[in-house]
Amino acid sequence: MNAFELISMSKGLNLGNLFDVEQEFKRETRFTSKCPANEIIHKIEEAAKPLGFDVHKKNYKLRLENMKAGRKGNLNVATEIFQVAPSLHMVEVRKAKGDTLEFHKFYKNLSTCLEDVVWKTEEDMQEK
Amino acid sequence: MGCYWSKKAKTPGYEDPAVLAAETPFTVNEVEALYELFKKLSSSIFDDGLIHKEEFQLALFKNKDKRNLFADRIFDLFDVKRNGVIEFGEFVRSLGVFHPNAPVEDKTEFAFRLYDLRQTGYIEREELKEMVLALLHESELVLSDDVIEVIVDKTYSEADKKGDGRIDQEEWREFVLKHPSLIKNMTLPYLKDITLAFPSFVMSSEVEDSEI
Repeated sequence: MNAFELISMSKGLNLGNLFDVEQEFKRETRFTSKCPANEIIHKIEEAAKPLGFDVHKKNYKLRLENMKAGRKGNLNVATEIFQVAPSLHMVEVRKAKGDTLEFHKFYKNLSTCLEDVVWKTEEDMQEK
Repeated sequence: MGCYWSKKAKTPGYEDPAVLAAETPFTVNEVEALYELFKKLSSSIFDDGLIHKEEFQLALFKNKDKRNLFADRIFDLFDVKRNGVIEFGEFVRSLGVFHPNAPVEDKTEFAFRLYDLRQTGYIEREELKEMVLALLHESELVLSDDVIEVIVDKTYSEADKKGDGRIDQEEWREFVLKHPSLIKNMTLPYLKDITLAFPSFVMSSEVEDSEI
């Protein structure tokens, strides 16, 4: 992850907030982790499989597909791991296909399983 | 209806939607929808038809006193006339760059001007470092200065091809071509659905009449 990509995550540069997009039903979220990338990938896999998701891996990208169809087809989630610094990774979790509400529920389940991997969630990263 | 139209005309910086539509990727309907958004933003603290810095901060951070380096840069770039407020015309023209159909060159240039903090025509290394520090501070991420230097060095050496210690527009354009995600936040997909989010009630008179 290069410095400009890091900078572009600033809330001040995401004008979507001007349009009052419902924060709870965002289609993408991120968290930081101090664990090594391989461990993060492994933990996500371990968490997603029992939730009924099929996992496809390629480099530092994971594609998780719900084998059961939901309200708008099979929920498809893309995750990507970026290295910010040797001991700091940024993990982006994004809905690729399917119902946003289901994505939101999936992410809640996923984050519970990933508690020991997550260092700061997106809420943590937004100064009060 | 008479009151509504004359109020619009009195607002400084108001421009005819047809004119704005002709000069931006927006349709007339979309410009009218943007006017609904503009009205909401520009009346949140000072009801004067102009977006003040606090109103902009309120909209972005839900906190009118929240200071942010990047929001300041965006505000300054939107405030083309540099009179300290964003007028409707400035609002629409600037947002035009964020439209999905706007040319990539415009987005790339806007991003360059955004990051050229001191408007020297170059993105200096100190400016890049300043921005990284601002982002880390905003996200409450603490990294040692050594690590920050490594992050800045790595990016800078890749972007500063000429090795002259600063990134010029040409180097920036090449860098963006290699890393298109750098201008990801220069596109707001919502702008295509703006007429759904802000249906423009051109004939609406309920609220407007009560204002002077």
